[in-house]
Amino acid sequence: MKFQTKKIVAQFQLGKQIIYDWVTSLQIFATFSITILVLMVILVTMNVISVTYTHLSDQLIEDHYRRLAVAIAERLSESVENYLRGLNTLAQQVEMESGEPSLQKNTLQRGLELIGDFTNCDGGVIILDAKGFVSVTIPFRPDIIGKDFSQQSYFKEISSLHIPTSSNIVQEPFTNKNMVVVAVPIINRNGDFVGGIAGRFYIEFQGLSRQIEGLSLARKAWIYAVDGDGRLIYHPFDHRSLGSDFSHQESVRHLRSGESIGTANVADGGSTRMIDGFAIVPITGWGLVVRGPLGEGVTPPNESLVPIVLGLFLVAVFVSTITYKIAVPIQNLVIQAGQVAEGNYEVQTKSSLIKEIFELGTAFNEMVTQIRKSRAAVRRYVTDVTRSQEEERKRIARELHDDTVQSLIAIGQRIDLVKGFLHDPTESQNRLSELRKMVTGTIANVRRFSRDLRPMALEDLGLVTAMQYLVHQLAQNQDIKVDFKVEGKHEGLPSDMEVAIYRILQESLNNIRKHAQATEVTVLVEFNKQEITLTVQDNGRGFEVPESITEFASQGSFGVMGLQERAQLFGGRITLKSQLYEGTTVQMVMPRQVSLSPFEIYDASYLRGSKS
Amino acid sequence: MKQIKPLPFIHILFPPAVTLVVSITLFWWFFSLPKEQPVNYFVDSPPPPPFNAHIPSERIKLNVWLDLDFTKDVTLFDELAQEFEQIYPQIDVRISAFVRESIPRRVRQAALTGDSPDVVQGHVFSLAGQGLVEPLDQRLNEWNPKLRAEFLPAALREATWKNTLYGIPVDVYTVVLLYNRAHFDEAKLPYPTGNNNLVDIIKDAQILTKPKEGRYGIGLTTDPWYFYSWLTSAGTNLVTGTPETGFTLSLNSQSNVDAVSFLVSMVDDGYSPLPSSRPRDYEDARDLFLQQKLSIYIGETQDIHLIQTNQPNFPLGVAPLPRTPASNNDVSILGTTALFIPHGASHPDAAFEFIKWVSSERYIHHMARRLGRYPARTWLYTSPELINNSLLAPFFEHLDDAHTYRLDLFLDAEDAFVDALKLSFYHLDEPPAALRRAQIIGQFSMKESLR
Repeated sequence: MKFQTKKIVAQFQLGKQIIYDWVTSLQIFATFSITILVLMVILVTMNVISVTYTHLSDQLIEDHYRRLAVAIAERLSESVENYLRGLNTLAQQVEMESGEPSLQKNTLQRGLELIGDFTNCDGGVIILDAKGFVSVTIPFRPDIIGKDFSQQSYFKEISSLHIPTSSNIVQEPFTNKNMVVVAVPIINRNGDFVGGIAGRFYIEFQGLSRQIEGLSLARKAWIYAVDGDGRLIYHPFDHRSLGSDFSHQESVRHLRSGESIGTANVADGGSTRMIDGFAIVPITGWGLVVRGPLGEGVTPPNESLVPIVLGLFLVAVFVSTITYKIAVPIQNLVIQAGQVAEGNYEVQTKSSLIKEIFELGTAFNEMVTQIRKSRAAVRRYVTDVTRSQEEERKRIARELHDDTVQSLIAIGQRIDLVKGFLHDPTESQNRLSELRKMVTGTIANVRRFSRDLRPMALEDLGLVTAMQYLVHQLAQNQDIKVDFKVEGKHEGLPSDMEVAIYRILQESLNNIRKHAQATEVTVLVEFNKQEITLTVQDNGRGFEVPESITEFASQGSFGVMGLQERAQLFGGRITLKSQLYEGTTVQMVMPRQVSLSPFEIYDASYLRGSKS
Repeated sequence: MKQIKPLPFIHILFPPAVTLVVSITLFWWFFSLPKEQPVNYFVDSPPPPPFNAHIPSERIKLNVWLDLDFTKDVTLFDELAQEFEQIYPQIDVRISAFVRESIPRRVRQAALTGDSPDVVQGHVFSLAGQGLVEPLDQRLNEWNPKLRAEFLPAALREATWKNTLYGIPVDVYTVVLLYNRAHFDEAKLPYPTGNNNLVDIIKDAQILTKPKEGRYGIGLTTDPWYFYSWLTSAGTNLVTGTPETGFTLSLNSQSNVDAVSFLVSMVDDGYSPLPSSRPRDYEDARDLFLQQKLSIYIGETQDIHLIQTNQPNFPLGVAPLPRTPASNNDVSILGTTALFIPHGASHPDAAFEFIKWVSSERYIHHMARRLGRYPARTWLYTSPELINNSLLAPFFEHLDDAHTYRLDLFLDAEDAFVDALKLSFYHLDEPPAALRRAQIIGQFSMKESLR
């Protein structure tokens, strides 16, 4: 049980670790970042395009419906005009003036082709006498023959104004059926009104729609017409509303307020935005409305979902692959850097197809190589230094043994010898004087020996004079013309720093002496507030400067490394410039105030084994 | 130092997979935001006819004339046209709707002026008889030779002239007796049944009439098609014969004169309102019936649908037409419309394809449900949806033996007959004289009408 619990906990920890690795992985992070960016760009682009397109298309569609309404209104008007023209032709026949119904009926029947739209199962054509009574009907309508139609608005109009007219919706007397009527007066040769001819359309039969139906409109668009009172004359599918008041419609309100052309938004279009284009129908005063959807085309069809999602998926695959190609080499570098940190300097990373990664890998490999070489050089340097120290110790021991000890032995023997002449004051004094000379000689030897170990000149003479002394020695011993210049004040430097500067100059001059074959040397020392600059320039044979100072060590030359080590101890740096046969310049720059960088602190603490 | 391991290659699939899921979720959420979706009535319907590669690819306008009663309240044909245009985007379907009584003259006028539409809905028998329609046998056989057997034989006969098929039947209906059950209950009268004859119904109408309440027992009309059903119940006829044997007009037969005279007397006696004589004045009777001012009228099957849809609580009763005084029950009239291609149609191939669509199972069920227009198919007799509607029982009862109306073969004769009825109802002439005049005009026009 306990074991199983542990196993579960371990698996949970493993799963947590895997998720953590995923979430913190560059690959995951980059892929999601880029994909989300692409997604946002797509969404924003779609939105901007959608809004722009909607705005533009709305304007175009509004304009389209407005123009369409005008065109259809004109067509309807022409149609009514034709009806009126046909009726007028019949009204001008001589038989019509007679007032004789049989003659008038015959005349109508002769002109049936002019009135066919009224008589083919619709309201028919009626002739009214001068008083407004129905005298003739086609087709036969016994229910209205002889009936008084004088109160019908169209009769009042033709009888009073003597002009053709078209009515709003009127109710047919006795049947109470809604109809619209076009009527013309019958005027005799004397100019008297003797009656009228009225062509009638039942609005429920939609005979007027002939001119409207079949027009090519966009899907979800339709046309309706209202009379001058705003009542519905024609509607393609809402037949129950025919004859009812449509003034509540925004476009009809505009029409009734006197606007002849325009557009209006539709409030009751549901989620589909609808627009009305409206226009007055000339001649009749009716209104015509074209209603259609706005911006229907901007809604992305569902089919576009597939390519968008597929596109995003492909983007994600692409980004993921690329990221994988980037992430894995970087992760390898991280691992290999860790290995280097653990002391494995044989690590070499693999090359990558991506330029920056390739360069990073190359630099990493170069760095590891340099570290490896540097460490080897340091080892050799340490070995060499150790050997030098041993030789120095041997030399010191030899010096002490061969010189100082021998002198002391001799002094001791002379002291023993003096004992034998103590009774003879003169001889004893002579012997003591010799002894004194021997001690003095030994002291001088010990001093010389000590001076060889420390730059006594530095202590005795001070930095500048000691440096001048070194220069002078070179000039004197090697027959080299040396120019020595000092600028600024050197006071206040720590003695360790003075020793380092002195030794750097000493080593530089030694190198000139040993290798340069120079005839002229310039030494310039600049002390300013921030730093000290020492420049040693010769006109010797020069050499090709290697890429790294550690290469000097690999060739068994530790002098330059020594310069570097000494300068770095005080936060300074050494710059070496040389070309074959064009001399060499060694420059040291050292800050007056020594402060170790965080890296050096870290590094130092690391070396102490207390990495925090 | 922390141990870092590169992710295995399989993990390359993880981000795209999550991206895919997130994208689909986002888009699904975006597109599933509440939107008003148009009702798609055809979701569970059979598919439309398969794509016809023989339809020409050039852009055309297909002019379709339909019966106004099929389009005025329901957008079924617009929806159909929309689907048709999606499959055949080169075809722009333009639907015009007309009062059905006006269609024959419109077709004739269009043929004369060379302005024929491509598809027309109407009673094709009379127009085929006038030589105004293209034959369809070959097209039907190429489409589906077995389909002929699926149409009701009676409807197919009404689309056939001299053994040639001229139209594809769309719907079928019969004339039935509609009555107000509440009025019968109030008068303690038994509901009409198929066993009643005309005399029984007239007696009921007389009892149901209540002048003080402005209620009439029965409604009459001057519309020839509906009036014909009164004549068949009276056991008489207007036109007899077949295309092969020729037709005989009997407008002023004694039985017709007697029947018209009797019905005129019903108006005179106040049992029926005076028909207005306007076109389609049969609708006046229906309006009065719905206002409960009329107890009985003769209507067609679609009236049942209209009343049930608009006034579901109306005490509607439906019975077969009254038998003849000789107790014959073959008294009803078969109504049917067909889709046909008139002479001079510009795009007959596309027109027939459209006809196939209208006639397909995908849409004809909707004609029944949404319009009350029952398809002229044999399965009509077994459709539970229809046969379980008890109000439709008289419709089914009449289907097999309903008369066919032939007076529309001779439009001038039909007009003359209507005028005779109007003259009679309004006492501008006596029925014998009025019908005699109609007979003379009718006989003259017969010679002119048939080819």
